[in-house]
Amino acid sequence: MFCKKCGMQIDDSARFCEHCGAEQHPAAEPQPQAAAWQPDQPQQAYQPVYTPLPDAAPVKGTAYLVWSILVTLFCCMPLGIPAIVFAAKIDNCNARGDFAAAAENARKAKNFCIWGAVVSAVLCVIYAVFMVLMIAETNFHF
Amino acid sequence: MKKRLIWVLLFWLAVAAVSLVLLVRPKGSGFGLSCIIHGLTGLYCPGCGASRALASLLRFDFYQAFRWNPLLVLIFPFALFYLVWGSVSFVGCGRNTLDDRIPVKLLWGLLVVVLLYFVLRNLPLWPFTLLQPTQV
Repeated sequence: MFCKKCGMQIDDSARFCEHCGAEQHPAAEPQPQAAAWQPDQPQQAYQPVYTPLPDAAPVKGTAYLVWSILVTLFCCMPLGIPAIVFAAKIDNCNARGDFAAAAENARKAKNFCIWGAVVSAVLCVIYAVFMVLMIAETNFHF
Repeated sequence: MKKRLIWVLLFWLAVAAVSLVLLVRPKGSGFGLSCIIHGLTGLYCPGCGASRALASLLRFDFYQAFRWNPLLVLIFPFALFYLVWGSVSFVGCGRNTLDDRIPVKLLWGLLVVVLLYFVLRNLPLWPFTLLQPTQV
């Protein structure tokens, strides 16, 4: 099962989350079955059981904001700025209770961070290849 | 857990690779490959001089690193701490537990400082020109 507070996967029988320490409600305990069929009670209509999605825990914006700033400063500013903008919206959406929008903004911030890192990594590789070629040319005159 | 460990190892491998490129390249030179943003706009962005500063840091030349990009050198130890803590924490439980302890207001403050730094280092007046990437 998943922690009700932080959303991490925990043991089904755990009473407390091992990651954030939040107490889990005892809803996971098996419902005691009716001991015997009671003829004077009408058969209960079938009721579908809704289980909350595992990612129902709201996304926190802090990590996204930190990574956006890191990408802006260390990697690629043009992609870091939109990452900051989307990361900044996460906590606002949470405050409004719009967890879907928060998750969407988190996804966008994450994508911009990843692309910022990828772009700077690719530039670094191109730079390294270029450097090797330059050094080879000046040293070996081919 | 094993998968997360591989991701963290890959991350630090990438960091090591970038560090190697920064260390091996000739000091301060870009082989005529200058930043596209600086080339197009003529502005010094907040990250301008970052790779030169990191290269100087790798050579333990702290003053030169500070002159390439002072803000980056000030933030660097905190960023490194965040990444090291995050690596251990991520392998252990799949997220960075440091995130719960960082107040969001601090990050907003940092953003304001970065933007202010962006403006100040582009002012063509004496005390502010010290913030531009400078070779000592």
